[in-house]
Amino acid sequence: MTSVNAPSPYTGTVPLEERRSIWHRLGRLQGAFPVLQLAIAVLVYIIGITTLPGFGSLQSLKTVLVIAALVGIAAIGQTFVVLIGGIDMSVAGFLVAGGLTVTQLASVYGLPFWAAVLILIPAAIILGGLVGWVCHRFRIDPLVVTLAMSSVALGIVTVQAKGIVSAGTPTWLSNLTSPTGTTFGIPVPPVIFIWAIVAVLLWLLLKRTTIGRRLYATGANSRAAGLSLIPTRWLWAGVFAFSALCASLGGILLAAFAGNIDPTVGQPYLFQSLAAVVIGGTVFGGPGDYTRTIVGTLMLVLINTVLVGHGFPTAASQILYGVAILVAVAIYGREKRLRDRV
Amino acid sequence: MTQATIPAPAAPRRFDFAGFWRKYPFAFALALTIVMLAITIIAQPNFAPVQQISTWAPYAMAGIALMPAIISGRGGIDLTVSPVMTLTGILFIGYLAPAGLASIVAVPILLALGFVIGLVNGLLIVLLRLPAVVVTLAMMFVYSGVNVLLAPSPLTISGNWITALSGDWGGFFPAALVALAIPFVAWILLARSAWGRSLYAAGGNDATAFSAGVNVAFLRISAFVLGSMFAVWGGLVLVSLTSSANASTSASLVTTSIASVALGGISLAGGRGGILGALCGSAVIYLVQRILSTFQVPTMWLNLVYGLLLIVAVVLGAILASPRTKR
Amino acid sequence: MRSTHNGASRRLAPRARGLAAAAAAIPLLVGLAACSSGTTNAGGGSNGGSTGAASAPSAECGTLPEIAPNDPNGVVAGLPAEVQALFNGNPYKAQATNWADWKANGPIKVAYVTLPMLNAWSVGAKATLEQQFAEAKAKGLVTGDLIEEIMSDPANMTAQEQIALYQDAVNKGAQLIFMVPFDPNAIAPSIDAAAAKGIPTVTINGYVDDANAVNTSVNPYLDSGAPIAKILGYMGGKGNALIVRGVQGIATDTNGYNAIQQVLANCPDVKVVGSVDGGFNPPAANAAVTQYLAANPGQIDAVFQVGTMAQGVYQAWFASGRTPIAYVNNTGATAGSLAGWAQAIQQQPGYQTAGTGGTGTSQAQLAWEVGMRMAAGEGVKVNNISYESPVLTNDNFRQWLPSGADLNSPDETLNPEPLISTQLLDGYFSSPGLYQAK
Repeated sequence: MTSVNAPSPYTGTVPLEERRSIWHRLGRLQGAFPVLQLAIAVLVYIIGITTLPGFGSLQSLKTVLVIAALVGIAAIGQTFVVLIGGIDMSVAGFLVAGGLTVTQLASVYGLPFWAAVLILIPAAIILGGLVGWVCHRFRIDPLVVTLAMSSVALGIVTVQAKGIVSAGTPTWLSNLTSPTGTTFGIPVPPVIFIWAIVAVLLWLLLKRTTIGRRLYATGANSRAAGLSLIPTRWLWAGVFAFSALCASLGGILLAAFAGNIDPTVGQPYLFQSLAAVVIGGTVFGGPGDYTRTIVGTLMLVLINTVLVGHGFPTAASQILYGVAILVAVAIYGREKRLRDRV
Repeated sequence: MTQATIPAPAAPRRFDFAGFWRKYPFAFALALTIVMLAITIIAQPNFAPVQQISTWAPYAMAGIALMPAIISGRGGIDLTVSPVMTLTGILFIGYLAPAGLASIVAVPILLALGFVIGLVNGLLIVLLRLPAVVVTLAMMFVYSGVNVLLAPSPLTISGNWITALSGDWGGFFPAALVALAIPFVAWILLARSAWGRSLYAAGGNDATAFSAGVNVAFLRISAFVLGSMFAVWGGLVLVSLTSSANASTSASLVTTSIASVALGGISLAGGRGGILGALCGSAVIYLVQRILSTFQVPTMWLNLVYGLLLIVAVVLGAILASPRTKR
Repeated sequence: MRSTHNGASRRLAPRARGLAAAAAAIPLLVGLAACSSGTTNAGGGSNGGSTGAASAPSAECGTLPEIAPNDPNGVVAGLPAEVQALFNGNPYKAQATNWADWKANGPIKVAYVTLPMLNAWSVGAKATLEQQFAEAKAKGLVTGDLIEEIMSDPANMTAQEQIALYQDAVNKGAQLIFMVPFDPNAIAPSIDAAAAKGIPTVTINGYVDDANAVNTSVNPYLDSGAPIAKILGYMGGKGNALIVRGVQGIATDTNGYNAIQQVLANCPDVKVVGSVDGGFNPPAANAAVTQYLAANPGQIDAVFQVGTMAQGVYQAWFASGRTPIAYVNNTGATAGSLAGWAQAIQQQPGYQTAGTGGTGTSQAQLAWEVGMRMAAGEGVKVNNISYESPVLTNDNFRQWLPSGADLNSPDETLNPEPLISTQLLDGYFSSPGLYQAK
């Protein structure tokens, strides 16, 4: 996908005197952490509190966080895939397949919940790993392969469940995502805790482990990474397997929230996950990390909730989404000049 | 009688299999199309080519509209094809027709709109150096929202000249072929021209093309412009088939257009593939649906069969075409 | 597609100013939106569509106003009086049908063109048609196998695909086609082409504005309006209401929304505080209402949804823990929505609301009977078999609730009553009685 960059003697000039203007420092900070997106999210939240009476209540905050958690968990896999330089279009398919497995397969075959999950995990890993392996081995852009795998995942579950495409969630599962739910007595819905724990683990994974470093290296320059004896093919397989796994487990949470699953419930999460990753500031091939995605998710969900709260037509919030994505990528995602790549 | 001065005949050259597939990346999709077409006709003697072609035409146009952006390389892709097709229909039926402009004069008006849409995409992507997939994703959201604002309820039109584009001439010739022939001829002429050759060069390796003096920026922007204009034409073809416009169709062709292009051997890395690939790829997608219904494949298998076919076809096509791109 | 680390942060400094300004546009836009506090956009007019919202005459709040149906050619007047009542306020244009004299000559081939098997509705409809087909085959009314043309990919449904499926059915020799239209406007030309070959089309759950189609669609004005009129009575004619729409841009949503507006027009003390989009499926409605409730802790007394989404509304409401429980019209009730109704009564004795029944099973049953009556030569009189779904109230809704169903159940309701009585259905035909159902 990318050409090898010959090192140029002019790798950018260092200013003779370091400019310490506030803009300069803010700019460097922005490059490291999505300050602007966080500021926008906070600003939108404040607008919400002032214009929507009662929006500042704890209950409202918990509800917004629950919705953000669902989008955020759907975006985990997307973050990793974007870091390695691809796009994952199978988020929707695995979300639905995961949700259907624990609700529908469980009822068709009479399996307890945990058995269904134990079947789901290796299946998702194998399918995702296949995608990554195929993309790397045959040098195909993951866009199309993930698209196809989305249909395959859904199809496998549908065939297994003998064509019945919807089944209800057990009530105890719904309590995981209920905004009034509690976790071991603490009045915070379990899904928010799950999200927080996952976020910390992912931060550790990306920033403090070898795998994380290798992931960044592979995303930045796959050929160089391969030459550095990084097993890029395993990394690709692993990243897509991880993405499929996260989407499937996210599907369980979605089933908990939605009450029942049908093949179309995953579709909005596909583009939302991509938007959250991009707005957060993760760039194709890196740099980026999951904390950026979290900020992007919060910003998007807050904007959406405040607009919905004001009765704004969905069309307008869609247009705003598009504008937000453009602005975010204009800050982060600009590529090198062509003449610098010669 | 002596063969002293006659050199020994050279060993017969073996058919360069790999080279053939590399030179004609659409060959695999073409072979698939022919096979599937044969299966469909044999299984369903009442094939009715006129209707099939006019129903296939919008898929084909979606693939054709996507093609220039992808060929221009550097991760080029255009996710706005689907909403622009819907937008064209909405404007034609909902705004041009009431203003009395729904005659053939609507075509240049709408093409001018396509020009502007493509220009916006191209400028954002090339001048600001933003990734094409993200820019077109964002613009896809914007146009989808615009479509709903412009057409809160479905629009219909009747008795308009445009429906002739999906009918038949002389009772047997599919008019949709003529509708497809226009962008086909346009592309063939452009691809053979200096512009086209430079576009392929820039798509294959823009750094090299740049150092050879090719104006890569202009080429890529013009590729997006051309793509959007094709999308507008595709929107008109869609209106000719459905006689209606519906804002909820904004995103319906996004993934199928990508799948068709990939099947047709048009590498998402750019620089290879052509309009035959787009046509054959979309034909394969269309025929897959037809075969599934002809053979009354039980509904529960539809997703699985569709997805597997797509994976196998893409992988096989990639193996056979095997472009020499570096990672 | 990548950017470098060094270049990015170095270039950010001078750009940060400009881009910060641009990015500030986003909260500004949101703030502007908040201040202007936009009300929902009303379903605008369409060109030549099948929707014609008449203005409601003034009537007492809590009663269902009588509104003239969309009948420019005065076709409805030719029907018996009790049947005419079924057209009250119907926005679907009534037309004389081209199939008045059609009759089958011997056993016919039948096709079923429909949407993907997405939910219990589609599964129930298909199962019913297959069962009815088998019974009719035993009686010698139909021949061969039921030709099924089902769209393949729920995520990428297009009008073109259904057009191709429809034409495939015609090519396979179908003589009578039952169809659940995906895009009613787009399929009309194909229906006309089939009609030219003498093939009638009976539609289910989707009105096609064409004299060549025989539609069996519920009257959306009555379907939404009747339960809401009752609820307005329970509310005493005042309170705050949230509206949940389906998918904006399609006729079913516009009609349902207009119906709600028409009934609310006579209740000035009922204030519509907001509107969200529920996508016509309970999970999406659940998410949308949850978001709305999170942003608007103010009093909401009723939630009016345009159809099939009551389950999602109840899920969101119970999850939010708000009391008192809002009145939710169970238009297009499902097992889950009725379970929610029961749960509401359990948590709040004295809770009452209203809804309408009607499942894929019963709708397919009605369409099949209409098709078979036409085949028997009974002679249908109009292109739209308008009917009023059975109204559910506290007294009878438990008969429709399947046992063991809970709030998350994806199933349909039971069908203790037919959608339309035989006597009323007879009123649509010139020579009723030729077809004996069972």
